[in-house]
Amino acid sequence: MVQFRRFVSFLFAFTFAAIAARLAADVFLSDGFDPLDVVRVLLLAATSAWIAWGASLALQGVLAPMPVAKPAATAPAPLEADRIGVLVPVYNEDPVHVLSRVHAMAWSLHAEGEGTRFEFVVLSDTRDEAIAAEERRWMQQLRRDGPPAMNFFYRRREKNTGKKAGNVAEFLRASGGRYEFLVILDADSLMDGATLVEMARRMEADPRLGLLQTLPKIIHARSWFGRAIQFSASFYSPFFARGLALLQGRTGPFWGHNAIVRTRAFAESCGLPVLSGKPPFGGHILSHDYVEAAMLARNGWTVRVDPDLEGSFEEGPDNVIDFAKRDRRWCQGNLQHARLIGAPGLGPWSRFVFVQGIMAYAASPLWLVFLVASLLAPVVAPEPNYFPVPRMPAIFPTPETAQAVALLVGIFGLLIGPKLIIASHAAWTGTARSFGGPFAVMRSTLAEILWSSVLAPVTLMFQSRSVAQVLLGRDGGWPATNRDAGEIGMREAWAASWWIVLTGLVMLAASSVLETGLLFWFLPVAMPMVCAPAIIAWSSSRASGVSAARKGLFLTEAERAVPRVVLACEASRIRWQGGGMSAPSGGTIADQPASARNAVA
Amino acid sequence: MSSGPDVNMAARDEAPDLAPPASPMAMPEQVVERPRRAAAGNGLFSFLPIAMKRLAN
Repeated sequence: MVQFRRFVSFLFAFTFAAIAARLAADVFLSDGFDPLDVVRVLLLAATSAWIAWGASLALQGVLAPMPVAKPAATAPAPLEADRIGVLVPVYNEDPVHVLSRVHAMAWSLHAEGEGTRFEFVVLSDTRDEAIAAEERRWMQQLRRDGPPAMNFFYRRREKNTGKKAGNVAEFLRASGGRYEFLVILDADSLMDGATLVEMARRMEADPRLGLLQTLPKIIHARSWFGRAIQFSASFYSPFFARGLALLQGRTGPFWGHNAIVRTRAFAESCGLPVLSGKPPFGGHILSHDYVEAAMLARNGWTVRVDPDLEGSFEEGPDNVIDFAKRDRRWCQGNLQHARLIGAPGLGPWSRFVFVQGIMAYAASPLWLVFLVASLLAPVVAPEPNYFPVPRMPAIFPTPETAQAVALLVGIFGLLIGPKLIIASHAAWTGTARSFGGPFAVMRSTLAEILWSSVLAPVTLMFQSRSVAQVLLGRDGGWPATNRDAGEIGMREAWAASWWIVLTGLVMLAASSVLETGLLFWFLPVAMPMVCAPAIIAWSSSRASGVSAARKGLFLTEAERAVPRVVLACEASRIRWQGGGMSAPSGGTIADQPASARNAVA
Repeated sequence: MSSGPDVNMAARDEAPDLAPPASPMAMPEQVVERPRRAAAGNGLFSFLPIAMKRLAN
């Protein structure tokens, strides 16, 4: 069945690409043949196939009645594993923020009656001495405030070789033998205790399951930009993930965090080598998670994403610049996978996952080259031949407007269609209620479509630059993501995007000079580029986020009914920040929501 | 989470009771790249002389 679904998805993508290529050929060749037209048709076919592939994932996710990977054991039996480690790798993050999440997760596990089986291990790669001192101080506080008989460990590396993957590997080699399973988190991860227990239960139920990935929902977004991403991750992503789950078979994804691994499987399969040569293509493997998933599958272990697992959260960037910085790192990591596509022993799907990751970034420069080629096409177009047959009446080239419109409608249909279908599906099935009701969901979806259309040319430029930098051999490094970044002012936004403004202006000028008809087509792309600084600055502001919330836009489940573990985390953080080192009043997680509400209020 | 650029650091002392207990396990380094062929026998170009010979015969 998995093979059949994959075949249908590929067929869908290739069929759409073929239709798009045919329509494009009709449109581009209507004024005669030139080599640039061939380039444009090929680029459009490639990018259309990519869009159609994404749409097929969403459609399969919508059409699927239930996730494909059903847990083998759902009865709430006690766990058998003696010890499960929860790894929290940190790098210069605010210790209070990180450890308040750990505190909330610990109490949540305690409430599930499985607290003593789980041990939290903070793996610090922090380079800043002052922050490291704070980490140790707050770890002691965590030990005092945490549930009784629960272990909390902390270790800091001398050298942060291999970054996060090296951090986890070093811990595994030193202490991994103690744990049957390891939950791998990020510094901003937050997971419900019941989810952690259920993940361990599913691992126990399937002895060949090497890794189980959850679908984290974004929380705590404050700006318009952050809230739009938060809504997308909560509302659309489960359908895309479900579509992915239907195609994954035993070769599912690993997204680097909010996942559980079988320690033995991970240790025997995921020792990452250092690639020969220098970065960006050599050196340490940056996007290690994709590679680890492929290596587990290569050794016969099942890797699975279960989108039905709720209670898994993370935070996201609140502005375009932080998003672009993160994207720059991911881009470099994914392009580095070009060296691993031919790795010995990998399954075809694992190789295809690498191709998908590369295409996620390569699509932007392909679109950009297509735009530039379209701009230049009138310049290199051959002189029209009105008399192809001698002594016969003149034949004027037809503009093939109908085909152009059909092409545009098809591409936009694939881009926005899945989102509208998901919104309609939510309204029809009643799941829209937890997002504010069908009306709110439809308004949020339309606003998100409009917003992502405005933002698309800006992200296209950032991604194209990232790909160019990597191909030119520039190593982007791994600067820490500033998740608590404030608003972006116009000055900072201008400094980050002046070159996008310039590109937009050149596009507008060239399209109006070279052929007046082109200006109309280029306006939706070039205008957001010209307005990039204003878009970046405005969408990063708290005011824009508050305004969206007041209008009822981008509401999520986790906002409308804040999960207990999120409330508990906020309560811990506020108490620690406000009350210094004073011990909490004690009690169980059951007491936490009320105290959280009071604290937040 | 990212772990920043590689930086050499002096050894850090931590409160011993915070350190996770030792329980070593093997994590062998995996092979993820095909071994590189000798420069003369590289890829498409190594096939070229063979193809030329066949055509000549």
